[in-house]
Amino acid sequence: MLKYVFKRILYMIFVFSVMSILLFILYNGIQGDPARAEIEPMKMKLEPAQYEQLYRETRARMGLDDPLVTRYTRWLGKTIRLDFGQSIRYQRPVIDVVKPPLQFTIKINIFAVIIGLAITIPLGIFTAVKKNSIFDKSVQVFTIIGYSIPVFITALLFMYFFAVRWRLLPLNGMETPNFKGTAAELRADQIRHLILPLIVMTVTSLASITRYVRAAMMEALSMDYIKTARAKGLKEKAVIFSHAWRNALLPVITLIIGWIMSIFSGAFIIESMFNLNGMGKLYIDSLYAKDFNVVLAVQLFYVLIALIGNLLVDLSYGVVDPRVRVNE
Amino acid sequence: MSKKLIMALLSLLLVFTLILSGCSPAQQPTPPPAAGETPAEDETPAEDPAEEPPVASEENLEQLIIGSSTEPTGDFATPYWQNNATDNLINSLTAGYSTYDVTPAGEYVVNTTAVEEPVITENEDGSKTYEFTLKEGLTYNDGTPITAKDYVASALLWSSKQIADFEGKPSAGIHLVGFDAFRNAETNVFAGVRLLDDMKFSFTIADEFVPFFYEVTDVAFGPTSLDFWLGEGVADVADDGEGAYFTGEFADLKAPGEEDDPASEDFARFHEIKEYVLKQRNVTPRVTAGPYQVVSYNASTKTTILTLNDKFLGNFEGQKGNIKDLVFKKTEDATQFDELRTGVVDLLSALGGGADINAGMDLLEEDDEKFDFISYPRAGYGKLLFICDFGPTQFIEVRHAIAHLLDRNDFAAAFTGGYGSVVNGPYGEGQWFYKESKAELDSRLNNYSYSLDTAVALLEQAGFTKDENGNDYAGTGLRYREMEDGTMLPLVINWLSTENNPVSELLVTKLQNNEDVAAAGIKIEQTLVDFNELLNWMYRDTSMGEQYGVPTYHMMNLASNFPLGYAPTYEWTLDDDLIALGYNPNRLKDQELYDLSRNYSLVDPSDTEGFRERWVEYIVKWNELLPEVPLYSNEYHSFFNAKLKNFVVDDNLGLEIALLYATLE
Repeated sequence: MLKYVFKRILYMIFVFSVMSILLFILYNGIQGDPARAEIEPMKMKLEPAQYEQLYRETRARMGLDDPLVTRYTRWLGKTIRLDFGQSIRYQRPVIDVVKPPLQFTIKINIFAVIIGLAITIPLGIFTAVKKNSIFDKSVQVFTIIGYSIPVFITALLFMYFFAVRWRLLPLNGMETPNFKGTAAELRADQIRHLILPLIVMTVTSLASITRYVRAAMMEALSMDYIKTARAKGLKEKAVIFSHAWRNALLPVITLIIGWIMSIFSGAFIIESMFNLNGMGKLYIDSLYAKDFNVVLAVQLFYVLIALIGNLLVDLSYGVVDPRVRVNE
Repeated sequence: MSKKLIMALLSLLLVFTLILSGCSPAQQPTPPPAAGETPAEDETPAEDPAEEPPVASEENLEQLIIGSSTEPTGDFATPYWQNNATDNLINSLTAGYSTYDVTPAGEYVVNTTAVEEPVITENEDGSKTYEFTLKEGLTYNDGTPITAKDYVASALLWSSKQIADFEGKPSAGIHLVGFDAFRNAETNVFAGVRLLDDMKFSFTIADEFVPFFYEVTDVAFGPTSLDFWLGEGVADVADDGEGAYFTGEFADLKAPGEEDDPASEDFARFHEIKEYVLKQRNVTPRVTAGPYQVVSYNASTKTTILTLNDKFLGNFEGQKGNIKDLVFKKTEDATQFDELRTGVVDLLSALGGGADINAGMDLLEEDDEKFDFISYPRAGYGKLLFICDFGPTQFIEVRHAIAHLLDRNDFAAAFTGGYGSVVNGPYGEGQWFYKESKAELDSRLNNYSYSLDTAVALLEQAGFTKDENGNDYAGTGLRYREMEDGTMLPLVINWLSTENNPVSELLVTKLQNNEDVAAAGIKIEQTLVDFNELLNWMYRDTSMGEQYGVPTYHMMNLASNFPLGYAPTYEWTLDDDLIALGYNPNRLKDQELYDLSRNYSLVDPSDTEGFRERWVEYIVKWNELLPEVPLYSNEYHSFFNAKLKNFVVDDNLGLEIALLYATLE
């Protein structure tokens, strides 16, 4: 087991290195001059000689005059020390720019994942057990609708009814601006602001896992060993949870671990609609602003998360299914 | 076992969530607004939010929440590191006691709250000195008295090599005598900046920059606290008669080179001070002298809160600001009017798109007692820029013909939703010199009204009279012109435009696919790129790729703005070195246009009529040569909660001036 994990970690380092080279080349190959883009707004204010000097200084500071290999090794050296350079848009260290949205994304996603799992797994199991019942059919219809409606429409509908029409919840944002009150009251205000996006995040993610769990459970319930278990006179609860669910869990576990790992990734549309400072919005905004130091840092972070997630999935197979061994 | 495992995992997650939620740094409630004091928890008045609807600002007459499409970043040192529009506005509201102020009418006047009328001396070498005497009683928001040293410190610090070494962009005193030498650390003395005594200081503008209609902007400095920016005792300023200079360890601070020992004390000290300065860009509370002071910036919610500075004595006429708190927050286009409707924001400023304005008008129809708006012309326009040194657009008649083939009134109405107009030169309809010259310009400017016949006649006049075989043009297909060297030049306009740009999309419909364009014998071919690549093509920047050095595109669609103090000094330069730097991107080399553009602002600040007359001549020449086709000039609309009164805004002025005079009722 340890040997396997060690080998996988070596493999992860290799893949991470290759990805870092590819991503660095990709973003540095994009046409455009970031130095010029940075100082262009100052052009009207400066005299030509000063503009030229500033342009040269900015290029030198960004290392744009160096060969690509030099730039990559310098960037990698800093990255290993968790120095991802400066954000062009904010003119601040990337790590300072990424920290608040990452904290927020993890916080809201943990809630969303817990609520989502708490709803989808029982719902998936129940609809599989009660296959073709009215309840099952209703859930199928609603999950199809959930699949089909774009997230921004769902978000707008919830915002319109809960915030604009009924005024039950704040429309967007992360807290009431210039909130006056105690720390506890502020905390309550922040939670109020999270409710609506959390509902939308949960609602829009219910469909896939519910249907996946249902399909896996239905397959498990059709197996001969279930008939045997029932024939032995086991209680239906024991048949479902001890026999069917455990076998259904194997294909579902990949999805669930993937979902849990997604607590680090943002949801651009929901974050934009609700004006939340999360990772999805930061990533897309940085791409639009060609703030590639931020984009590179975020992407490499996701590469790392994906590699760790894959390792966890493989290891979890061994835990869930004794037939699977992870020593090789 | 699996059930137990899952239960354990879920329990762990729940515990982890609770821990995370409980331990993550809670945003502190709004602290009391005194600079230099640390806000204490639970000190603010306990207003029970449970009894308040989420729309806390709805009846709040003490604060105005300003929604902005540009997020505030919490950088309070613009433009020396970055140039975010909302950050700039916030900085303007916290900066005060500048030697010159701008009136609501858009004029520069001596700020007599801060200084006496300056003594202006025209020196023998052609330079011009403005000597200021500070008034008594000025203080920063923390109560520290302001002296002449603080004004001199502004000019020195924000022009210094050290700021460049801190990865900033020193640009404060660019027109003052000795700027370049000081900025490049060739000398430690800034000759054009003088500290005369505790209350007196002067700035000298170099001879090549006077007279200039807006020259007072070169000597418009406010105070800067060196103790705040650099740390106590790190620097002071002095003057031995040759010019002001830094004293203290900051004076000798130099960026370490690659050969310097990273373990050395100098190396460490440089980075220590650099980190300190960079941290001060974002730190709150701050030592400032303007009508407002920063209370807090929340990096998570991207919200900045300002409150009135009770130590501020007023602007040039004693105006102090009436609204207690100003809150700046980011809004999203899709939901901005819902935010205004529900009280999440109180003001949406300078909306220019037809869809946005119509949404605002719908809101007013819903409840015109609760909401209000103001409109004003944009000081700028969207345009088609011609490259004039090669291909068909080098011919003035071709540029005119293209203008005649675009129904600009129709285009502007379609793009702005009817909330815009068409201008005939590089100006905004809100500029005072346009308003005073409107009648004259109306009679002298060509508005290039839509006409296929005129366009065809102009193309014939330009020599586009052949077909591809060199025969006379028969009335269909592409026109050609036989050049002096015998080659045939097709009338193909290569148009470069940016992606996801609604102006580009509308131009495809209204110009590129206009049947009359083809009927005139013109073909327009569009290429879409992102803005940075467009700049490469515009600058013909071969450092980014050899292909950019080859003249390829004849036309680009862009936009221009003309802020207060704008003068096209180098815009029509004939100097190839400057053109290579991106000045005169149209590459239109016309001596008369260059002279008129450069000279119209080279008058004494008091000569408003001379300035206006010369400006009109420049506009007329520009309109004749037509290096650009103005497409539309928006009628900006600001929508706001009707509690905001006396809110008079103009695109030539900053929003900071309007907010200073506005009230909440």
